[in-house]
Amino acid sequence: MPDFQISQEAADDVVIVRVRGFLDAHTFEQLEESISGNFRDDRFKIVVDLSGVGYISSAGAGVFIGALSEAQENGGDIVLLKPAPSVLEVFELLGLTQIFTIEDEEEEAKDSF
Amino acid sequence: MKRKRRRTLSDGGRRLSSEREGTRRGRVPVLISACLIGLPTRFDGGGRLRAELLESLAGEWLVPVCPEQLGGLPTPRAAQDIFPGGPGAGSPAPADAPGSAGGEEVLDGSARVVNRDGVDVTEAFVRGARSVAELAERLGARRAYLAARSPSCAAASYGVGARLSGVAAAALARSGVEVIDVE
Repeated sequence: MPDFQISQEAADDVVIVRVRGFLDAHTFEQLEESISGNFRDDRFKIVVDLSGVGYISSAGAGVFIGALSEAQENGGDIVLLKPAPSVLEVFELLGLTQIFTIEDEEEEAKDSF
Repeated sequence: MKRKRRRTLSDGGRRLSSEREGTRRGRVPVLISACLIGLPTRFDGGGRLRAELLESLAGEWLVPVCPEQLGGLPTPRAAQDIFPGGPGAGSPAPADAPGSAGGEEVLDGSARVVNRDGVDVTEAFVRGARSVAELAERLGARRAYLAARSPSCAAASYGVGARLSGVAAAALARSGVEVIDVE
């Protein structure tokens, strides 16, 4: 299993959270904490770069569902960037492609708020 | 509540096929316990395929959900039950019968979910239940077929007397979603 890593960078008022590895029941809390930390710092425009995620479970998907309302209620959003086809399949199955903005280009993601 | 629509991805390889997109256009999704379509999401790592149900729902846009997984629990996982007493009340007392409280009480904070190893998993259950309710609201789902007798999914079939609801079923019912028990 690839090591799970999270990093982030700010671009104006948008935060890009980059995730690498498997996002599942063993790792989802790290991402949850990362997003919650941004909320605590009044940063609600979040782009989550999923290009390095090879697998996502329901636990991982649940992080995005759980964070979406708080982001939007505070003038932000959760935008998903470059999910791999296998990850996109999970989003499709759960109906999340109907709910989340999903972009393939980082600039478009940053401009989507 | 603000509701966003998915944008078209620029990479054609990632675009939903027109056939799959077509099956969703104009349809209201129906939630279903993921185990009922045969996905191995039960606590023991098994499924609970109900082929006849799936046949009866042919043509519907089914959204499979496992509240316990959405809440962050792994699969397989220790079996869980609902006990009276709020979260953090410690191990169930000997007099506490498993299933003597239900999902409604968990959502109200007067009962907790504890697994067979004695670990309090209430937080994961509540998080998963809220995620499922949020998903239903965002997608506009008005109906859910959920696995009977589950501490998450049961609709009036859990616990003592088999009359209580699971945590996710209770959350969905509070959101106005019709929950249908599937044995």
